[in-house]
Amino acid sequence: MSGVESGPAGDAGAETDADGREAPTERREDPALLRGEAAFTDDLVPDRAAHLALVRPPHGHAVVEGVDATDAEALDDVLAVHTFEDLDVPGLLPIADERLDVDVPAHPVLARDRVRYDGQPVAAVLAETAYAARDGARAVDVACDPLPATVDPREAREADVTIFEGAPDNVALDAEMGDADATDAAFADADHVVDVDLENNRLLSSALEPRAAVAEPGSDEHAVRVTLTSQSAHGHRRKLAHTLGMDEGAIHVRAPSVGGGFGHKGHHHPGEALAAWAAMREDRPVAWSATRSANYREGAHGRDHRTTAELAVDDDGTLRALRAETDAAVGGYCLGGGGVMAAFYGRLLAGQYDLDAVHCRTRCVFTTTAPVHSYRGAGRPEAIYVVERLVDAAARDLGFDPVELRRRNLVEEFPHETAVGAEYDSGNYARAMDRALDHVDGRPATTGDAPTADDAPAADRDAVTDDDGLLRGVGVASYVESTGGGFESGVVRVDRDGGVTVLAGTHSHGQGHGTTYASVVADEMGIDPDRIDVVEGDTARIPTGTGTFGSRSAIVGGNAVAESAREVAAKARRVAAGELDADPADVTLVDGEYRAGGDAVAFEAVARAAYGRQPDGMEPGLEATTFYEADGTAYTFGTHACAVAVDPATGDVDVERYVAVDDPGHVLNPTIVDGQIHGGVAQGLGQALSERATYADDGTLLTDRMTEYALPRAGDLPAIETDRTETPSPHNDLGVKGVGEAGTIAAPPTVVNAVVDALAPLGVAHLDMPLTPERVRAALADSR
Amino acid sequence: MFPAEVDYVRADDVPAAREHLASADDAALLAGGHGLLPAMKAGEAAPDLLVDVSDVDALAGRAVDADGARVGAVTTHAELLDDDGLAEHVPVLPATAEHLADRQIRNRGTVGGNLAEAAPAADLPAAVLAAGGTVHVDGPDGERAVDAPDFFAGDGDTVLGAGDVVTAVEVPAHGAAAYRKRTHPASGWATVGVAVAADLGGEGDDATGEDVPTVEDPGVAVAGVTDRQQRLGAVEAALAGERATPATLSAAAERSSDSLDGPLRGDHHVSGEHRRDVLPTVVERALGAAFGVPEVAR
Repeated sequence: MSGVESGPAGDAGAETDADGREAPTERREDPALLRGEAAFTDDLVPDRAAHLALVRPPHGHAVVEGVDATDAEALDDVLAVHTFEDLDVPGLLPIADERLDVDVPAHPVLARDRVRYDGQPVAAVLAETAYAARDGARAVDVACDPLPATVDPREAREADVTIFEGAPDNVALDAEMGDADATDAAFADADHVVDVDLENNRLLSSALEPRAAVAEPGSDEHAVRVTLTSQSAHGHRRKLAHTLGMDEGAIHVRAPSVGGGFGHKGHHHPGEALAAWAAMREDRPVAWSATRSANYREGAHGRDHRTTAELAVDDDGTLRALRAETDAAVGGYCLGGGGVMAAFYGRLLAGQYDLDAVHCRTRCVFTTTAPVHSYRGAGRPEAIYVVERLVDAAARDLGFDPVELRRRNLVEEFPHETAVGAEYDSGNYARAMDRALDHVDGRPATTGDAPTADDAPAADRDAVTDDDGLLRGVGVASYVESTGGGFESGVVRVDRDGGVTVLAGTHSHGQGHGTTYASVVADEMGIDPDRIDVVEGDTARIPTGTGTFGSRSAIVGGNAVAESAREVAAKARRVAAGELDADPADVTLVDGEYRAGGDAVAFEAVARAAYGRQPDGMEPGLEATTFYEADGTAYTFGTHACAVAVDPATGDVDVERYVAVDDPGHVLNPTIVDGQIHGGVAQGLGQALSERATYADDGTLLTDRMTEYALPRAGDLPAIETDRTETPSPHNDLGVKGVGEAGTIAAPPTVVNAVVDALAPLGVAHLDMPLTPERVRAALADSR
Repeated sequence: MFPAEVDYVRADDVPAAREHLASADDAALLAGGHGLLPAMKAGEAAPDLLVDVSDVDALAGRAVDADGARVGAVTTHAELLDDDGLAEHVPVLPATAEHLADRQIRNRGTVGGNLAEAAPAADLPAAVLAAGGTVHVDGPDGERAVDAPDFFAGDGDTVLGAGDVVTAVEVPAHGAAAYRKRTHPASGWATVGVAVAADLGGEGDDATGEDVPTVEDPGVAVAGVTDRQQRLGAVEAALAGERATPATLSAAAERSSDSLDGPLRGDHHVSGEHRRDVLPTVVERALGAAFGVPEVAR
């Protein structure tokens, strides 16, 4: 059993792409998933395993005065109750302490003397069964002395709450990007300044599968094998080695089928490390799986920014400069790259526009909440939301058509270095915008003649509603997304029988890499994709890897396997040339056999021959390994548009149409791209309309289960209309750009712009997400 | 997420069920299980004995005629939706069941269980209240019939005591009905649910000279807004004997909060104030739907 492995799905239909190449319209991963045959971590628990459950006190902030395990230890089937003192390993989750401004302790896998968020684990219960473990966890008595909580990043800087002694203002990191003086000068010179004050709401990661781990001690080569819900097997191996004080080589990590990641399965969590530690200590397999509620309480959560931002605009509609000041929550601990992610979110603050200057100050603020880390989009949705709300506000305030104002300021020459240091590789922003407008009849937005916030407060509702009593609005948002950082490994191996195995250091947990990589490799090698197996998520089989996050897999993983495939194909051709006694340049591969002159040799025979003695000193074998890094970041872009109807009597927002036009560079597989856009837009609509992780003032998480957290259901979503333009990236051989997060970036400002458009005639200039009926009603009441 | 250990027994008839209930310190009736079992899994309920009454014949079945319907306690919500007699004579039941939870829950959840649980945001109690229904109970002191307003005591409580078994609900016939619901974005319960049941009297000319029926014996009840389902007496009074014109219905709906009783019910998604804020609109639309007045129905 390895990590994720996928072979052909059977009768997959095919669709021809722009270059005339066929790409499968069905995903090879789906039959096993739909039939329940895919193996997830919790399906792989050995019978003899012990089970681990964590004790999570319901306090946002408290001194842990003592842990009384007497009752728990007395229960049948409870084997042991552990606290931090029992650990004989470092037991500290890696934090980005070297990048922080302050010296604060790392996140212990079990709290030592303080809990800094609701659900932070304090003790671990090991038992014979999962039931007994959870009963045991309930029976552990943790004596806590509650401390005051502070849950809002803006308030936390002023709050009389000290989360860490080393961080008196609760500020972990105070970062600046861009040129403050140039920005000030542009603002001083510009004709108008438009400002917004907005919240980017905190989100919970709601992957279908909660986190889980199964640790098994003492295989032949490794001290422990950990099977877990991961977006990056090698990344998790590195983090486990840190937490457990072990060499990476002593740990074997497998990530089997994983039911969704969205970022929170890229982070390292206490249960994973504790299961591994307990397995080695007990010399017995140990299984842990989080409940949905534990998953929600522990985080990592997403977003949670408070931002004031300004845009400098000239009379003629030239956007001059942008400045933003953001308080970004990092939670009770600054986990891993969470602080850095927030600190550098401003990198995209120029959006699609040619601005003279941009300046962003971001304070990463400790709050007594679950840690905040990357969540699908990871900083890009926060940045684009600021830009696109500002541009819309400028259009409304200054009387421009929102589309026209955008168009007037688009970056047109590439490559383009923005005022905040992003190097846009390629693009045709106007083309994607036009394509989106084509779908909405060219007029998605109100004109500058519409009443503005200044002169409309007294507008009569009846005068601006449609005959059905609804207020209608349209909105657009244009975005850029930075994709494809870091390196990735890709191996292509042809066995003696002609079977092809692809190994990649990424991990597919819904993205369909098996389908995509097989088709990329098949294309490069000229063979049938059904002959190709794709393997990910196993540190014992795959040389190394970085993982799947940040819309990177098609770029770095795709190019890594493509490059290996090209190398293998070239060698196969040379081997075939030897077999055919021909010049390699004269050999063609047609219908699975190499041909030259009138002779032919089957691909299988070439594979077999490759492992025999080779002429001209060529090594035997038919395998290649590539460590691929793109020449630069690929900037995906696009324009989304939507039409909404708002019921002023109830505050209900109905998204009547949603059009997404995205440019992901060269498209490898339209079905996969559409799937990514659909999923991302669904998540973005969730952020815009219903989702908000909410803490009580005492720091307990109110939205700690699905009946409390308003995740959109399928029936809540509109039909999502997708279309594409294709502008290849010059920075990688396949010309691809990442598309995994585009929907989460574009959808929130698109929807908010549309709803504000609908309500603007009644004097509403801004609404914070989520746009719940209650908030819409309150805005209408305030505006009158 | 694991229930405490519990004994289980299946009852053959109501007396046996009552005997079983009396045999344990903390016994609970089990029918559809869609309120009790999740509560047990969450550790919020821990009965020591489950008495399964889902196979008791005396609790099953429905009798419908022109006077109304008697619906057995273990009737599922799905069965309410699939009964032509109910649709004709007591339409508020199917109209409400259609909005109740989802298909899976409707297939298992029962009428008696729903009324006995008396969750403040449950839909069905509003329907029974609006139609002037009666809950039949078999208890230690024999059988009794409890009028719906007396049955619900607020905040999930009812008049049911130890050993009581809900056997049926009786609902008088009515000619017009509707249920309108605003659904909680996370839990799916009603944030505002409004049931309407009434008779339509002879038509008469309204001011415009069109034939408009009069509203007779109206019942309007709300779920989800306060700690209990309740009838909106001020709305009913404004409707009784009036012609069902848009103006009349809107004017009646404006009085939705006049008699609203009990503390508002709200949470971090939907405050009690917002529920009350939109209540008149939901009432207006429910009235419009019930009386076929499209101008206010939506």
